[in-house]
Amino acid sequence: MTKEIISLCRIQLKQEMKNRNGIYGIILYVLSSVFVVYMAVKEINDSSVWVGLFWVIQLFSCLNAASKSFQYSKGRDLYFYQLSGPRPFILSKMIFNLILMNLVFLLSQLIFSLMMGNPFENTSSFIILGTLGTSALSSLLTMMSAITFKADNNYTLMAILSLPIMIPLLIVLVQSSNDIIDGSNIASISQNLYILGGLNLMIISLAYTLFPYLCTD
Amino acid sequence: MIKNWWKFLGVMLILYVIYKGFTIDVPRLDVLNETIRNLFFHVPMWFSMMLLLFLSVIYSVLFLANNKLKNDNWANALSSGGILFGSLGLVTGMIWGNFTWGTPWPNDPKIHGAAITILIYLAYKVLRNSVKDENKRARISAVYNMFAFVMLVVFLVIYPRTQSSLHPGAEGNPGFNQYDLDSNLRMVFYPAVIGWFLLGL
Repeated sequence: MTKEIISLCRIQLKQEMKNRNGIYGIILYVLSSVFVVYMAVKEINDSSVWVGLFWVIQLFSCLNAASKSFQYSKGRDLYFYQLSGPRPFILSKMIFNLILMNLVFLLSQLIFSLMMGNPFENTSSFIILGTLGTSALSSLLTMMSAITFKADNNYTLMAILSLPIMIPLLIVLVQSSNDIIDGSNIASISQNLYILGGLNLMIISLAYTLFPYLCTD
Repeated sequence: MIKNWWKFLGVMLILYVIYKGFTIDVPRLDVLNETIRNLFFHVPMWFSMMLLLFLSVIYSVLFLANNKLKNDNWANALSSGGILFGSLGLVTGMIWGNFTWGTPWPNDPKIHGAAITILIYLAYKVLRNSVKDENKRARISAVYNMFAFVMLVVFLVIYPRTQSSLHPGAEGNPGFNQYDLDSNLRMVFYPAVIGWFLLGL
């Protein structure tokens, strides 16, 4: 199965490289939304506002990126899906999205810090936290986008379905980011990191068990 | 009448609860006072909401296991009941909060949890309405239902522990624990819970 997942990931990468407007679209989305926020608030004195705005932007960028993840599934993806079976298929989508969204996370972190200043003294622990959180977000969103795709519907449905489910994740993330700003190190927020890791595992295993049911037509 | 005996039992129990709930003597605790009577109406709402949503997920799992549309209908109907109880719980809570806390919507983790629950299940309804084909609708919504419920349970278990709550019983607020809940209250509270359960089913 590992071999299949790897080759599926490679195929997705090739597809994205061939059809670059997807990736450029995501990057531009991040850039322009950060800039919109920058124009709206200019300067942030309160670090909890920084955290809140950052995660909201991150959330919507991920939502936007994930909503495209099944866009080829009517044509060529269907063929690969038939070849590999549902489980490697959804896992490869998840891995691809995970990498993509972590890149989006790093990018938006960079731009956000550039424009609004960096409130973190301990940036590395924020990046560890963010990576874990973004991974959970990405696997959740991939599954939601699969559901939306099966309901052959649009971006609105995707947002309606995923936003309420993401709130728990978002709360954990915002809280621990604020803890980091207040001077906690990685050990003292380890409980939250375990929660995030556990959520990650749970979402992936749920998707692994449920996706085949979603796909039987 | 015989076929739906539990409905009548439920209605009877609730009538008893309404009568007793407004007339028995209640312990006067500071802050809560007479509003402790809300225990008979507000708290069972949440219990029954969770029960109904839990049963709804069970039926979703059953549907995925054996593909019978009857199970999907059950899941749908139970989730509607869950939403109804959730909204009633919010309303009773808001009326109560208005008198006890001075505001219907304070910044409290339990309220957030309740609001998110209702949002998620409304999203479930939207999803159902957006798919035409019956079998497909049943399958997709069953998957979403399971996903949503698991996330919800994790959230409801983790989140309130990480923050302090205004609700009675948390952080030494007067209210819902073994010492305060005297036997009179119990006499009404347990029938209330069972009554709302039966009405919901």
